Amino acid sequence: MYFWKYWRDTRRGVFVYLGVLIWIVLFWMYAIYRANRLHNIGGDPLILWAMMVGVTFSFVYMCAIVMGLILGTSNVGSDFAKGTAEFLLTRSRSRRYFVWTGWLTGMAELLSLMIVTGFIVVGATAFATGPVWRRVPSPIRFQVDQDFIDIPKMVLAAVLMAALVFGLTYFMSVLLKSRQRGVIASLGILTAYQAVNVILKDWARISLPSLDLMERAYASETWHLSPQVVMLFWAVLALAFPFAAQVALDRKDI
Amino acid sequence: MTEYAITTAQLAKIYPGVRAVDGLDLRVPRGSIYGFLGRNGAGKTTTIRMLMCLASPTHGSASILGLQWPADRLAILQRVGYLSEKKLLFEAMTGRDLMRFNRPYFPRWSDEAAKRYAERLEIPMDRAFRKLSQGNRTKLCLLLALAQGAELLILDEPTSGLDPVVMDQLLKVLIEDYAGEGRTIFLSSHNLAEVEKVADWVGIIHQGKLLLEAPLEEIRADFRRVAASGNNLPAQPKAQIFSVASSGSFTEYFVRNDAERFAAGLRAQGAAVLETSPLNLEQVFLQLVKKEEPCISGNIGATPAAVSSSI
Amino acid sequence: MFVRVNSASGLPLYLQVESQIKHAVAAGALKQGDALPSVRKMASDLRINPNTVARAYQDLERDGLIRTVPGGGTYVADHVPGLLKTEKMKRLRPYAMQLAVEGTHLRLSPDEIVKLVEDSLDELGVKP
Repeated sequence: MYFWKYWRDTRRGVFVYLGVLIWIVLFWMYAIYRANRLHNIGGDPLILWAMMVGVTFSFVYMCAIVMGLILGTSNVGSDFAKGTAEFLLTRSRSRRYFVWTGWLTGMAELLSLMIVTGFIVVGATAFATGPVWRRVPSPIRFQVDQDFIDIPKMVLAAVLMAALVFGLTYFMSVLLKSRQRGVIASLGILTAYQAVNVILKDWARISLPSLDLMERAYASETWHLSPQVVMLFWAVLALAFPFAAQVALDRKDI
Repeated sequence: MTEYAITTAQLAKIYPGVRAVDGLDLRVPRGSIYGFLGRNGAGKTTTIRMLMCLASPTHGSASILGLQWPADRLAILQRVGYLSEKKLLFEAMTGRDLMRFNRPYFPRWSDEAAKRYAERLEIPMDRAFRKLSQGNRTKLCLLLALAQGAELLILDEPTSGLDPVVMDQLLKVLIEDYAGEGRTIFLSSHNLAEVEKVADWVGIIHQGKLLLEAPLEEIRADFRRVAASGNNLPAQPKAQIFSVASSGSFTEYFVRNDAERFAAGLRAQGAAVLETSPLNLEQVFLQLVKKEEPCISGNIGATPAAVSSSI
Repeated sequence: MFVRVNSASGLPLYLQVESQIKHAVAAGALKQGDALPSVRKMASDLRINPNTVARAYQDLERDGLIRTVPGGGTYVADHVPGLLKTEKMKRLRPYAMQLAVEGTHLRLSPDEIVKLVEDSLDELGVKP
């Protein structure tokens, strides 16, 4: 029943997120409605659709990062801080079970939230623009000016982003036996990584695998790994985090 | 069916600078109520956490209910009910939620037993854990351990922080429902009076080592205080003497066994043996674990009662 | 059935239980054939170890004061234990010695000590 416990621990965060999201979206819809009154949202459906896709994925990425950080702290690590780890880990299951069940439940919650977010935002903007995607010849993969927009790739990138942020926070929370320390460490590592990336780009012309998988730095002159390798690297790392959490927990004295 | 519920062999937990548990050899007979006594920091909780596979030993081994430890960890956890020193459960869950959470982990879980305990212990089952008083929290933790259908209960200071009424309720339920029939209770406690009423066996741990492990009846039958006065009396603990206190020409000996023969030996030396009296558990404990003190001189002519109060 | 034990009194708990049951029988509060509580019930009422109660019951049964029925139930025995008079006297001698020692210590006269015993018998309702 551990996934049930996980859900009980996280449901408030989920509902708050959904509440905030819906509030923002309603406000957004109101703004669009007002804008619609004044200007006609006409124009090139391709550009409109590209904008919608962009906005939707922005929201989805935000969800991945914010909820990845928040959900990533709800695990055995937080039980240590609350003093309930001794109870939990004397239930007759392996410690591995608790790590992986938590990870799977958290990932399921996170991905569900991202999907819901995507639908809500698309739905809300479509409220103003109508089903723009019907007026576009190839809505899944298309090109606007110099940008190639590949929706499946963006979905994959979003999922990887979510898995990375969630996984990193999850691992840190378990390792450091605390929610706060887990989140702070995770944010710290992400920020430091970005900082190092920027520095290396400027000084040594090296691009580390970017967290923003859509980044067009791949077209620039810095040394970089090919996008496929980067994706693979992130995927492996995302799965490595729960393994690392398992190892960390197995070896620990509670 | 093994004879012992718990055995340990040179179990040790050594941190840099601290030997929390230092070569412990426990033998807890099946079906007994075993009181595990020791001062704060003596190593009781560390030992218990190792037995529950929460911490790993530096060296040594153990066997619980005949199972391999810690290899058969999951089987052990299924058959052992645990009450941790912290007595904390998930704060947002109610008693009912916690029952629902706990159920799948234990094949012998009984909802009916849980309801019965909830009634007898008067636990509000629909209130969130964080809103429960200390007494109710402990009772709820115990309920979960009892309803689990465990063969062995390991309780870490179950009555600490409880008011006398709750303590009484707990003891009643433990004895009525649990003791005997091959089920074992291993409890650590500071409450010596209560352990004395309830325990079959007693183990005293001090600075990580087991000072004494014996049936309580044997302690009552054999341990004696011998008060004597005279010259050239032995001044240091040795052989059966485990503690000595002297004041002026009066000396108190605390002996483990053969008190009569010891007293006769003193008389043969020309000493006057004033009294041989039995010891209760608290006195035995205090004499075993107190720091070694040099002989206190002065108080010449003091009565033995004054001697013991000056310790 | 009101048995109470005092763990601080220095007298072993099982002896306290035995002596209180004997007292009750002697005073007529427990009659022949009356049922005693089960070991577990008495232990939980007193909050003491069931083995302690079991030992008291065993001793009493060995002395012939109570008997257990196969299938459960413990009852006060139907007949007086068949001990020889000399055995009975031997049993009581330590108690008599203790009384004598204490009495002498307190400087009571032999008559006063005997009166104490007679008064106790009176209280129990045992007629001379």
